[in-house]
Amino acid sequence: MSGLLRKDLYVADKSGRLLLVLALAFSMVPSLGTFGSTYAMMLAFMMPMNSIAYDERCKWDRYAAMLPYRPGQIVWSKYVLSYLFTALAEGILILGTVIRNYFQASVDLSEELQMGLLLVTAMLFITALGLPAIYRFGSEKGRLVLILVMGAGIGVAFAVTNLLEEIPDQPKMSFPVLMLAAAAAAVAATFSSFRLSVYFYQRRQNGAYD
Amino acid sequence: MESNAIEIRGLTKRYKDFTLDHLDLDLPYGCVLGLVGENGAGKSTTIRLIMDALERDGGTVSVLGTDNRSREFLDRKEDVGVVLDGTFVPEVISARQLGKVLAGTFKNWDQAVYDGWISRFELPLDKKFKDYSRGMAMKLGIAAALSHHPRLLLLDEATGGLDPMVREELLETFADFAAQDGHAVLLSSHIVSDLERICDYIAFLHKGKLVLCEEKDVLLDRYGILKCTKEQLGNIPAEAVHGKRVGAYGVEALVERAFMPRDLVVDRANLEDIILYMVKEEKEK
Repeated sequence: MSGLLRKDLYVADKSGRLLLVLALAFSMVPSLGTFGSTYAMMLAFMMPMNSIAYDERCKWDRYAAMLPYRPGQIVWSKYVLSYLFTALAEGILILGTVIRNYFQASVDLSEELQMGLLLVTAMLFITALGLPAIYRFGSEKGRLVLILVMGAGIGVAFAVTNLLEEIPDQPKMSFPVLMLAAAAAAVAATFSSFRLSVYFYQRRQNGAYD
Repeated sequence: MESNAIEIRGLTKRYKDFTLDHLDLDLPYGCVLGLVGENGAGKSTTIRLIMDALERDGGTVSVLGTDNRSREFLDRKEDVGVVLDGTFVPEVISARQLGKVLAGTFKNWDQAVYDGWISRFELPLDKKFKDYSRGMAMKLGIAAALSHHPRLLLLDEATGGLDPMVREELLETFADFAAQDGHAVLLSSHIVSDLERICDYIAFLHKGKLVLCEEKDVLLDRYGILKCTKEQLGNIPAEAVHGKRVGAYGVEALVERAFMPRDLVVDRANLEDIILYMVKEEKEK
C-alpha cells in the first residue's frame, strides 16, 4: 500500500504544505480560538477528498485495479491519508501552542491538548462519515452530501445537548472516560465506514453509478 | 507449464446497453493475440475482466495458470503488465515519481529496467504528466508495464493516436517481448495494420460477440477478395461469401478461397479487408 500513499502524497504536495503552514499560523493566533484549529482539521480532511477527485479525473482507479492491490487496500489508503494529515495538522497545532506558551505564559497547555484530542476524535468521525459519501456520490456531489449530513449532525448534537442539560442531577463523565467512549465509538464508526466505502467503491468500478 | 497464458471460457458481462456474450478465447505462450473491433465492441471490458477489475456475470478466466477469482491472483498480477488506453497518471506526477509509486507497488519492481526504458524512450524524468504528449504518455505506460518483469502484457489501444515512428518502435518492443520464453501479449486495437504486422492470432469482437478467432496466417490464406459480376457471385455457395459490396459495374466480395471455381481470380485480402467485410456482413444480418 505504500505505493498508493506515496502517489497521494505527491498529489497532495502543494496543498499539503499549505495546510501545514496554515495550521502553524492558526495555532500562533490566540484570537482565533478553536476556529483556527477546527479549520486546520477540516483542511486535513480535504486531502483525501482532493485525492479522490484527482483519481476520478485521470481514471487512476482503472489503473489501480490492474495493479496487485485489493479494493480494500485502495480504499484504506484514503483513510490513512486522512489520518496522516490529521496527525500532522494536530502535531503542528500543538507545536504552535508550545511556541506560543514560551512567549506567553498564560497559555493553558492541558486545555489545548484536550481540545486537540477532541478535534482529532471529531476528525475520525468526519472521515468515517465523509469517505463513504464520496465513494457513493463521487467527489463533487459527495462534498455537498457531506456538508448536508454534517449540518444535520451538528443540529442533532446541539438539540441533544440542550435536552440533556435540562435533565437534573445527571452523572458527570470525566474527560478520560469521555475520550475513551468517543474513541471506541470512532473505531466502530470507522469499521462500518470502511466496509461501506469498499462496497461503494466496487459498485462504482462496476459502473453502477454511471 | 500450461500451454496458454490466458484461457477464457463463456465470459459474460451485462451492462444496460451492452453485453459481452459468452466469450471463449485462448492466448498461447510465445504469441501475440490481436483483439480487434470497433469502439464499444468490448475490448476494454475484456481486458478489465481478465484482470478481475470488473465483476462478471458468467464464465471463467485463467491467467498464467491461475483462476483470476482465486486469492492467488493478487500475486499473479505481479506477472502482468497492463497499458490502458488514455491517461491514468495524476497530472502532477512525473516519471521519476511514478517509478517510486510503482516501486512501492510491485515486489518485482526493477528500477534499473525502468530507468533503461525511460532513457530508451527519451522521456523527461521530472516533467509533469500534464505536459506529456499522447505518445510520451503511452511510452511511460509501457515503460511502467515492462519494469516489473512481467510474463504477460495486456495492451489496450496502446498504439492509438501515435505517430508512425513511435508506433513502429513500440510494435517492435512488443514483438521482442513476446518472443521471450514463457511470455505472451494481448494487444487490443482498432488499427488493423498494426495487428497484422505483429500478431500471431486475431480475435475479432463485434458488439460483444466473438466473430472469429484464428491464426493470422490461416486467415490470410483462407480469405480473398473476388471481383466479379452479380451473376458470377450468384453461382458461388452462400457460405463461401462473408460480405460484399455491390456497385454499378460489379461486385466485390470477401470469399473463402477453398470454395472458388478455378476460372475466377481471387486477390489477396489483407486483415483490414477481412475485418471490414465481416463487420459489414454482421451489420446487414
